[in-house]
Amino acid sequence: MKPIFIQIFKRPKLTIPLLCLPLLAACGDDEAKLAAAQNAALVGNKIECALNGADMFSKICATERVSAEDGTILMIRHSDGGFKRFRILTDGRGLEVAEGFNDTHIEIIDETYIILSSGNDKYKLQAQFKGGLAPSDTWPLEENSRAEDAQANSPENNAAEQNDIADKEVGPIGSPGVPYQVPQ
Amino acid sequence: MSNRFDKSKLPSRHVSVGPERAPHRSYYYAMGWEEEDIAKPFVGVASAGNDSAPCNTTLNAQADIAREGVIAAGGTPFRFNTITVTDGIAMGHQGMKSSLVSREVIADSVELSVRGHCYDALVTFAGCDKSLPGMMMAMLRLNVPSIFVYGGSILPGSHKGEDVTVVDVFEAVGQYAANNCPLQELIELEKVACPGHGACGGQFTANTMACVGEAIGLSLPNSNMAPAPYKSRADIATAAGKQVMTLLELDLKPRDICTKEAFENAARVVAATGGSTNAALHLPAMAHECGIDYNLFDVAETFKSTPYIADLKPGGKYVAKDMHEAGGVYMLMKTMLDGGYLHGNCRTVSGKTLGENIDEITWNPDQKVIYDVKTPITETGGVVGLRGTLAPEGAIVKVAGMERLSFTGTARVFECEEDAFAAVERREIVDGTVVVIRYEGPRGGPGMREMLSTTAALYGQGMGEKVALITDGRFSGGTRGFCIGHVGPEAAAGGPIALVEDGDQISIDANKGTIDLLVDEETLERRRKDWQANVTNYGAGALWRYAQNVGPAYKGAITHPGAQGETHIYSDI
Repeated sequence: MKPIFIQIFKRPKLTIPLLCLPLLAACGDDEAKLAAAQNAALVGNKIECALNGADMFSKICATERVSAEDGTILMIRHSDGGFKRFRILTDGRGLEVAEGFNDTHIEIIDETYIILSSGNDKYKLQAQFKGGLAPSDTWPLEENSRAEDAQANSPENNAAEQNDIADKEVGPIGSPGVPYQVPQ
Repeated sequence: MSNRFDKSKLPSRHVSVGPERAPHRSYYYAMGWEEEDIAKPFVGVASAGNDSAPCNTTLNAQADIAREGVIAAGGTPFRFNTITVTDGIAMGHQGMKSSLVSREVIADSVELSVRGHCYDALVTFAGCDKSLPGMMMAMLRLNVPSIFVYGGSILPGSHKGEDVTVVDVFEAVGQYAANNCPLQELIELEKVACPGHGACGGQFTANTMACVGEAIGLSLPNSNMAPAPYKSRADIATAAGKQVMTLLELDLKPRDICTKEAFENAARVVAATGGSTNAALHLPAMAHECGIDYNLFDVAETFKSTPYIADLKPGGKYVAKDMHEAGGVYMLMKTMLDGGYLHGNCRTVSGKTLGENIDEITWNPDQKVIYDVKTPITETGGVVGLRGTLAPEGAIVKVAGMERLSFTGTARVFECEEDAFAAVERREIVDGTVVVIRYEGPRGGPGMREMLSTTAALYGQGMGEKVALITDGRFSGGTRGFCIGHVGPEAAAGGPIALVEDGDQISIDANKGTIDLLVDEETLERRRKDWQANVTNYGAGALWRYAQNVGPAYKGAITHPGAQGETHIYSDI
């Protein structure tokens, strides 16, 4: 299995290999989707996940890698047939939800794992940092890829993303992912 | 930009203005400053950065970024460092006697550096236990416009799919001793519990005092819960450097901010978060610096009427990173202000009042860390003050997360922590025991050690709620179980705790706020006549000097007369 290297942070450059499953056949109807998910859960590369706001992680999700027109999709299948799709980005921002509201959040657990959060679901993914996480090399880490998005993406290129950021900027002082400003 | 400030009225004029100060200016030119820079206000940037522990490792970098903010806003920054003692490393051995002493050394060293070099304003960076109150004490003592910045907490470690902190490692030592945890698992845990930079992640002393920084108004709004590794810490450092210049312009000083009401706000936030009992020591000490009489009993009174609403470790589920994501200290204070638990008119370093800052916040009902005050975890604070025949000068217990709030048991007395820990390791402590560890007070230790190793070992053995522990020393913010600290007067001062004997009955009721030694007065009087003060093993050096000067715990274990003894305030020189 060939690792995919994705960059999560801009300073310093760190890369993470996500170990993903071979592509499973895409299915058109619910029954087929369920079958595919169950198949993935049975034979796939199982990962720990905490679904629907659960506190505890269990090894009941499975990953697969899907090639799409606009890049590579990481598909995470839940044991109940549900799934989420994440677009693997190559511009240093890590991952974003492939469809719907982008509420992806990546948290480094240690040198071997990250936790990917999306809505009420959390996934623990194996990762490998190039050069390790030596304290002197890794400060500061990016808090939330969306803050970086605000600076990196132009409005014409990603209007939806900009709307999301605009919403965040009027949020509470010191909100995660929002540049810090003293209240004026 | 320098025109905004009247240098002739600032302390830095003593080192930078006039022909007689030409030698002084030579040093500034040597460091690359220009004439224009020397004409600007001088801002001290105090950092507790060092390599002794991960809580301090990013502080110098953050302080350097704050310098850029100071320069951008028209000041000239001078970074200097102070020491720290990291409790997590000092814990469980004689080194812990240096911990509380370090608070005074930190405050004193910042005071001396600022006085010696005549800085006009101050930005302080701290990340570890006593360095937070030490820095804030210095700010209040000097009373120059100042901002306190917390270096941020560590991210949680992960072990077997669960978030873990260093306190899990302390408790695993107890489980290992009880044969409930294989050595290999303990080794695995110790390697993953602390995944990088930052102070301990639970609502232990560092995070508690970081919350105090925001609640009392000395830190920028919602700045302290962002974890140490995050990039936003750099933004906050820049903002602090810029904002301190605004405070200088406004002439808004720490003592304008830290009123009695501000201390009450701070105590409320400590109680609402189930924070460290150390706050009951540090808040009186901070108040002492600015001449406000605010002792353990005042803190306890505030605790008593405050709902416990933040589900944070060690009593709860979450860590500081979760608190940050839930909306930070200001999200907590939003519901507290709405419920009438805070004084909204207190000023803050934002230049606005606490209430005005809170107006910027929208309550988030979807987050799980902070409860609405209308539906608290428990109705009263996570920390309770006690008083009774065993502690006429008071004591304190952290009840957050505890099911049992009263305890009557049989005393087993130890004269130091090492003896108690050894007994715990030998599994000699049985159900119903009240473990008494004495001569660990500010004077008697000296240094008022924390007892985390012993309490964590008890908890690890599953004895956390089956025994009680009483000391004239302290407990860590990470302590769980029925653990009463700060018992005063301390044994070295001849307090009743010195008269307890094995087999005595002791009764504690956290609901009523009582702690009593159930021994008749005649017996106590006989024991009192036979009592002799202990002799410590510190006949010289910093610990000896501390023992000569330190006051009682209920007043914050302070070592000087405070604002009441001042003949001048530094900021007025």
